[in-house]
Amino acid sequence: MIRGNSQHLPIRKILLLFLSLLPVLLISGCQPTQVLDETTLITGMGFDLLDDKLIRATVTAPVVSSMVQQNDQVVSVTGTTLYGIMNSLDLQLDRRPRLGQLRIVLFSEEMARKGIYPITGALNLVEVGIRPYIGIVDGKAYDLVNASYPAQGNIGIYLYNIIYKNVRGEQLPSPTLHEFMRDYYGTGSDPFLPYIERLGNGIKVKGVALLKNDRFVGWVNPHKTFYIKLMRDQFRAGLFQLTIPTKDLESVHPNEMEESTPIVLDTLRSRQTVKLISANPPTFDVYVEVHARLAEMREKVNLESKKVIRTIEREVENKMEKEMADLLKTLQKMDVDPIGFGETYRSQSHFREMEKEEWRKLYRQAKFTFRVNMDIIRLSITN
Amino acid sequence: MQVNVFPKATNQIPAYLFFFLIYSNQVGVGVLGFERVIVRETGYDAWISVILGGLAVHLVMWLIGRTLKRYPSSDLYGINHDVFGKRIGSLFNYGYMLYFVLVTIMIMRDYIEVLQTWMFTEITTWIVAAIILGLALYTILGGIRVITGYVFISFIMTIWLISFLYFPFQHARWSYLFPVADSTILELLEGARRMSLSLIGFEILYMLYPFAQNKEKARVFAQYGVLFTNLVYLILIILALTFFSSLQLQKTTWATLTVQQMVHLPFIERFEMIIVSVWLFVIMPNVMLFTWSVARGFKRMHQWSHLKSTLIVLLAVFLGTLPMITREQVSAYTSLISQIGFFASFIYPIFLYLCVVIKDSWRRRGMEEVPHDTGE
Repeated sequence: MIRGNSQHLPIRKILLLFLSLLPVLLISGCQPTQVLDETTLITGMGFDLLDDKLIRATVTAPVVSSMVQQNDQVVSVTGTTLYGIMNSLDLQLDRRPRLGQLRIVLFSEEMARKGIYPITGALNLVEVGIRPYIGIVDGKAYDLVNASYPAQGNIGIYLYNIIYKNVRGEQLPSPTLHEFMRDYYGTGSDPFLPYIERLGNGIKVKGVALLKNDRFVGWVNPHKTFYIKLMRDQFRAGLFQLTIPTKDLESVHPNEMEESTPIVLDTLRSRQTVKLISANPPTFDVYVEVHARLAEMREKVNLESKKVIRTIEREVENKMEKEMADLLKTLQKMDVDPIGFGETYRSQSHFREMEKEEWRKLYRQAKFTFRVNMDIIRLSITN
Repeated sequence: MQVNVFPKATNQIPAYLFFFLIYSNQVGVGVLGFERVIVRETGYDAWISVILGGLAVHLVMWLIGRTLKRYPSSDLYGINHDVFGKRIGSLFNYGYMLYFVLVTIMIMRDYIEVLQTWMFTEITTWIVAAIILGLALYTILGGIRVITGYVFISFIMTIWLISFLYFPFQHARWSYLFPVADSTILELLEGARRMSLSLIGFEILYMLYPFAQNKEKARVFAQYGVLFTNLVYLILIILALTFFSSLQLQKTTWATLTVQQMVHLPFIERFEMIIVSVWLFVIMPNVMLFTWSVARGFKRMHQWSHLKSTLIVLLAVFLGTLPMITREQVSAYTSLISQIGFFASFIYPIFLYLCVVIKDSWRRRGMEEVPHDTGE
């Protein structure tokens, strides 16, 4: 403790403050700088497998310059490691390549079949962060990244926006690097990533690619993706369409009635509970509660009647239960668990230190019962 | 050496500021990566260990309060001197001072390691150490009131960071927390013991106690400070557990920072860089309070001038940060300090309390016997 603070002259204090801040002033120019004009901000990377070890990386970066016509720079190099690729890129670019703005990393299906962990693991850098999206490309990643999208601008940002928008709209599960790594390291669930294809001058998300550990084993269409999301996530799940038989519906025009009618429902709220009923073989009871708005229906039926609405609800429930059971059979055949039943199994049974391979064995024999409770709580403005 | 010290009224600290002092001194560099150390022991039950560790701090804090209450206005140096006598008391005092120096070195070096990993890969250790200690020198020479003022500002300037946990919490998967209490009691206790590195710092109450304006209230506010620290740790561990899968978390060195990589605002893409920078505000109170305590130890025992003892301590800390170069050395040193910290901050206060109680009862008996003797 200083006795007599007031005895100090103010000038001495000012001098002291100056002296203690002096190092800050002295070294503030010592850090290597990263000037924006001298860096290539890579926004997207696509990886293809050329032969057993050699990887071709195609990167895209926006060019900010009034001197050039084209606003995108696409460079393709080969290498065996991520840093080898970055070094080769350095030799091809006039500005230093940097991964700080990386938005999306694409892998060709062919490469994904051999495993994508070598690259995604290496991407786990401070510079990259954990937010870039990962996607699997139907075909060659080179073709997708190298193609020009005149209406869209930079492919990296374009693709990022497509996925971001669909994640927000609950069409796709969030496929960030972090979530991929979480499922990869996690014992009870497998990663799934958007499955992307090039369609003329644009890009289409075809569905969801299913991965076993880090290896591509198959993909499912958006319709089935909806069910995966419905069983996995807590939140609303968006629009979905299915076909129900019209046998028990009272049509306004009975004579023109077809045997089945497509129906579109807009999920307002969904809630799922997955219960483990018995541990060996694992038996799950999947109960899904959906509050939906009837958005569209081809057949004109009398929606005023409560009975008709009930019938529609029952038909939809039956249909959904059947489709979910079918989906689970497909998934079990592919030996992947994107819904995370393993996670449910782990959290509901005292089964410490479960290895992923142990769970796979159990998963193959697992049995499921599905119960759907559909409530159509709203109709559109006209019946 | 005098056992009791009575600071002037102008140098005293209002009791409520002990909340900020204790909180700021507990939360330091350990909070950036404490998650994985505990998860290694207890898996998804780590949050129970955090609560157990927090309760242990409350208990030890209570004992520290009881110890200090037996003296009108003393600090650890005075109590050691009083209980163990001049020789052994000085030995304990030097031991505690050395421990504080080692902790300060650990805090500095760990923060510099974070800085070198996340922001400036090429920066050398001594430059950062010199800057931090230069700033510390300024406030320490200002005395405890200036340090307390700084602590308060640093609290205000960093507490808003908690609100940004909203972003990573959106990616939480709550099923990871189940099944609850799957670990054995021993594992949970071991996990709680591993918390000691992040929890140490509360023992600074030993040094600050004489400066409290209202000593009764200061002890209460110190407990509130501990409670707040525990709440912050609990939120962070639950976030880390739900955000990462177990194996992934065990591979993540600074989970609290990695979690913040999920934050993205239109004008800030990489929020963790802000946190790494702002974290200097968080570790400065640690550095200041610990070095101030050591400097005060010299002043109490040898009546050295404040300037001289401060300069000696800061030089020792500065030299201490230099030899560690690789990550392995840093983490080995950190876990060593964690071990020492467990004994110095948790076991020693209990031991000291027992000694003080025994000494007091002896003294009382002695006092009773004295009139008896003279009466004979």
